[in-house]
Amino acid sequence: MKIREVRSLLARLKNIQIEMGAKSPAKDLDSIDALLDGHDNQDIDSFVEDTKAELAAKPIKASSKATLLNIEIVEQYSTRLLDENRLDGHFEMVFDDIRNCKDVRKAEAVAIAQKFLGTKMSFKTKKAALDKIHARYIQDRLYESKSETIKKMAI
Amino acid sequence: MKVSQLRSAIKEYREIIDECGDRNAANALRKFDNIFEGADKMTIAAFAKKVQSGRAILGKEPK
Repeated sequence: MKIREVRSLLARLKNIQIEMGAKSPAKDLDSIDALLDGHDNQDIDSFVEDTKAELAAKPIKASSKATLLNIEIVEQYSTRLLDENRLDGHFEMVFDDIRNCKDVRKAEAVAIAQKFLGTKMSFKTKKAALDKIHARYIQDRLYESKSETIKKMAI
Repeated sequence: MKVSQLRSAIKEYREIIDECGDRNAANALRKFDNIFEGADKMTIAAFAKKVQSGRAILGKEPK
């Protein structure tokens, strides 16, 4: 049995509804008929199967921005941090750029921190990752300063 | 109008047809009724929209 037959039956039902003065159901039958348009030669079973699949179809969500890591940003900032952290004032400048950059979200901040720290440490927030970067920088500078003082004392 | 109401109307019509002896037509409507399975609480407009949107997702027809 084809959809053509169903359309014909629904058209008759629609006429009955109109004769009974039920305009709304008649309009709704038009909506159903519109779904059948172009499927006249399709088997009812096959149409039903297709329609069920269509009803179950869910849009494929493009991976949300939040889950996509912006590798370019990570590379850019981690390279700058590693290259410039020994130049006076440069670390703070790069660090502020990272902190204020809207493209650096938690995922990017964690990746930058992991590169800078050389670990696979995880962080709950962007701030936590940045704080750790800053803490390591301060720690390194203190260590260098101590080493230099010891060297001077030794000379 | 809800899908459930349309199904009732179609069912009544189907029973009349069946009583009149047109088994094939009644059977066609019975089979067709399966497309509304699980959609009773939806309005016809929402149902139609969902089907159209499903077709668009599956690349069958433009939305």
